[in-house]
Amino acid sequence: MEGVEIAVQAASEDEAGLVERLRHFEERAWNEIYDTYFPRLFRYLYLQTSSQEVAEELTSQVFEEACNRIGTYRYRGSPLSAWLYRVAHNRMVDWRRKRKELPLVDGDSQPDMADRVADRDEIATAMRELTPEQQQVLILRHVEGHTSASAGGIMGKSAGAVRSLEFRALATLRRSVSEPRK
Amino acid sequence: MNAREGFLGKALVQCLATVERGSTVDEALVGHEDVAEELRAMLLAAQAVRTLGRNAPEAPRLAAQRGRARMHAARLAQLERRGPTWSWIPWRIVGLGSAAAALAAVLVLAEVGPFGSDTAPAQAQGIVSRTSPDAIVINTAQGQIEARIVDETLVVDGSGNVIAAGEIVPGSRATVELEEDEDGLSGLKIEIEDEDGEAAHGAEVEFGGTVLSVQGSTLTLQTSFGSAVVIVDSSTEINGTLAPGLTLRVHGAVQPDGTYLASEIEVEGREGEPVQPEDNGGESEYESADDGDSGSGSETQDTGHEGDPAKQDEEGHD
Repeated sequence: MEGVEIAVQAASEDEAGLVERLRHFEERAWNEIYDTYFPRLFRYLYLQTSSQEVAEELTSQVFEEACNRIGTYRYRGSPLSAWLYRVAHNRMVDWRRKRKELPLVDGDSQPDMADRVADRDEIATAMRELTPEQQQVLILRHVEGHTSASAGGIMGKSAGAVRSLEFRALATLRRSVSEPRK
Repeated sequence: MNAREGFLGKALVQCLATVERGSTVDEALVGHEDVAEELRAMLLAAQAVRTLGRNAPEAPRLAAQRGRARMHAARLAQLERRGPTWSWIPWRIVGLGSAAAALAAVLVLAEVGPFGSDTAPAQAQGIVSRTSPDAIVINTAQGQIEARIVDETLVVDGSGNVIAAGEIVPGSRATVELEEDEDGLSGLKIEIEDEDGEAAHGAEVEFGGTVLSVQGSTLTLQTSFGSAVVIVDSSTEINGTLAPGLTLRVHGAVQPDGTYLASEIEVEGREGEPVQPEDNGGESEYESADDGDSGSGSETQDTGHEGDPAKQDEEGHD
């Protein structure tokens, strides 16, 4: 299960060494984190933007920023993945802010194809009724497999606050979700 | 969360942990029969969320290739820019400029240790004077401090929610954890306290926005942190004319009621267009003090289109 995998990775003593190799711009180290995290961050961003194109662009930006910032990144024991997800989170917040501003410029409010496709899915539609933070906590916990503490590290919240958000989100979703297919 | 929700919440945490260890929903519900119905629905909802991940498209191969190319380009650019290995230089005041000197004073007063790789980050408290996506300026008792906002910077509001830097309201009280690197000061964490107009009364601030309406001596601006009410008086220096749809830069002071008394307003343009004060299409405007008839706002009229700059645009540019 991914949650277990991430927890194991967080505890890995190799993490500090990997960060050092990244700081020295070792190509193999960068390829390693790219291969591990590009698919995950892409999925994480896709689920919150509903657009493959946007998710691709934002995921690429995450790794560019990681290259630019690794020199000032300090390993303090929390997993590198939390930092990458944090960078992704900030990119998404920027994207959301700019998207809000766009209609003032061109008035274009037509949803993209991915939106319409996702709308067919009951759970995807129900997720849209949640606040962005509730959506994020469910995706981090149940899609990306983060623990409450790890999700809290990414979102800047305590594990308790994450559990509270998760409870509210699931309580809202339960009204919208029918029995799953067996 | 009431008592029942608290009880349900604890049971949910236990059940989720059981499911995460590989048990079925029914197995996880054993021992929670009194709230099983509600829990089951929530556990099934969590399972449904997991299906979103399974149904999400994989990163397209071409996208991955393009992304990898961009990452390596950035890596090579960093390698090229890299000078001698940077090592920590002990905190010094000489040559660091007034902002850093002010911060040093804060550190002494706050009994915070000097910067260093083995020490906790420094902390500064003050009133937010201005922000941009890349930087924050706060006024402290010892002087003004500017810190870069980088991707790692965490910005949280008074409720602990993560917000974008642009959402910080000028005049808010903030606590900033800082560290120094070769480019200067950067913010690790910015905590914004709940808005308190009294606490920030008189604080000098600066921000930009688009005029939504002009009513008498009161402007309403749309800004990145929401709408802001700006008061103009006879001492306000206005560079240009004020009308809905224009983008402005406001320098002013926070009032007890949370409005801003402008000392200076710079008209920057209309959605990227140059300022054309003479071509106002008959719209009502607040005349600039520089136009020779400063007054105290009596020149302003209700445009009749408050909150609808788009309509103003249509009518003003026919």
